Amino acid sequence: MVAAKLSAADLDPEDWDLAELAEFLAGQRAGIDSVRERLVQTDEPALRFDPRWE
Amino acid sequence: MGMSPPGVIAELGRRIRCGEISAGELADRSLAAAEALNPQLQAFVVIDHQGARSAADRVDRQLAQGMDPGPLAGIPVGVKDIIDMAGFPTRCGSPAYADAPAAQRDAPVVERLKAAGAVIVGKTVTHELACGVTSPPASNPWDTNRIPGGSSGGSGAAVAAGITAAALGSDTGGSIRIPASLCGTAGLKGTYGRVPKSGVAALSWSLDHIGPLAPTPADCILVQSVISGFHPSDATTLRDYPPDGYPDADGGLEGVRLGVVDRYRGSLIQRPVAEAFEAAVKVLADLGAEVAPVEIGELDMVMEVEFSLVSTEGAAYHRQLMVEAPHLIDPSIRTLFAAGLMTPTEHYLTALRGRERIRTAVRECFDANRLTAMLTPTLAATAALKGQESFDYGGPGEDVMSAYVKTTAPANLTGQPALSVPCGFDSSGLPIGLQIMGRPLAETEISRIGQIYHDAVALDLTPPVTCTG
Repeated sequence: MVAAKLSAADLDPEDWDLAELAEFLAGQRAGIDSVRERLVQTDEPALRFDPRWE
Repeated sequence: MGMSPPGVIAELGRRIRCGEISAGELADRSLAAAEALNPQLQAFVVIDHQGARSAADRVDRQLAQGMDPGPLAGIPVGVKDIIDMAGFPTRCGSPAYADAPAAQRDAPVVERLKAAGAVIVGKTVTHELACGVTSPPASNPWDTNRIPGGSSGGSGAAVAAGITAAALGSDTGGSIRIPASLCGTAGLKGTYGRVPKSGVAALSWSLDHIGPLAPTPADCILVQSVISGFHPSDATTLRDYPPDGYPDADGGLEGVRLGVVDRYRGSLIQRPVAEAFEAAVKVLADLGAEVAPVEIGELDMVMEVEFSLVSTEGAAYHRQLMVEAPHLIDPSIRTLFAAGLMTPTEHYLTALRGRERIRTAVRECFDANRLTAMLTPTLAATAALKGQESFDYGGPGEDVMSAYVKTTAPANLTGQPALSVPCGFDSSGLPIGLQIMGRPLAETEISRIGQIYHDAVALDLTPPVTCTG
């Protein structure tokens, strides 16, 4: 699974520790799942970030 | 404004302009200090004798002719080695760029420093690809067995040791404020879009900021005022906003309302840091500020959102290197970027949605509590030993990266200005920082608060490794 994803991203699976990468991806997935749980459908991304409040 | 503006740079500028010291003499001192201390501190990747002497001579000639060389006339400055400086390679602390050709032109921030009369002493050490908080091989002037922080670690070490009066850093999750806090200097990350980022290697486009580290907040805002402003080469730079001004540190803090973020006061923080922070809050209250405890639940999402964005944007920026020579990237950074190349688009958009939720919540907190600024400890911990991986707070601990980024990353996600100013020391004599986060475009106001605080506590910020001892 991870090897296929690496290949799809033009990365050579032989360059990588697949188990370590799988663990990292699982952690990142859990993190983004926790963010998603806090959002509602109407929360929109700012596709061009502008820091100003007014 | 008082009789004379505050800050080390203003005082050096006064001495140069009245002939007490020439820019050439100051450059020689700075260059000699850089050479003498670099074996211990490893703050510089290159020391530019010829360029510094040439710039200093130009300042002295202009002064002799009655010309104004600019607001940073003769001031020794360092530039982080992710920022292009004509004639020098930009190596980004990475073996992948060991043979990089010399940059053809200066980044706009370097152009602006030079036009203001600054004397660039050299390029400072960065953590690899500006993606980390330790900056090897640089050392902390307060204890050379410890890290200076990162990713602008060489800049922090150079300023703290007195080699330069300012240095440029970059800040994607705290990389200006982290070395400032750990090395006992001030550090300012301005509002997103204040300072052009063109000619600077990116880590995460939407989070990256360029800004100064310097001895005092007044010094920081002076350098910031030189490097900020719209530039056509960077579409994210803001137009039509009030310029940075010089802070009036003679005024009081009456009418200033400060929100103290509760979550950073109790758990997962070193006790000396917590004590120094509470003492700093009391000083600010004694100086006339109103203080209000505040809490923002959305800050729970900061680390997940920050690292999702850095992972994806960093991967996009470094994709060619990832494909062609991944073995030249540190394994932890390589893994982060690989994840960025493999995660679904929806994850990136979810992170952006989380970012907007955090930004809205912070804004609402400022408005509901009528805040001028928000206070946190800059970092939960003081400088780690080299090789140290985590902090044990006498209970649950956390890794070094989390301890340093959890308090600083919120201002990268919101784009607000944030300043770190020294506020004390731990029992080992290591510096502790106070973070002041302002409303967007309120760099001058947070620098004013920081300078008033700095003057009130008057800490001795001379480290054991220094050129002024």
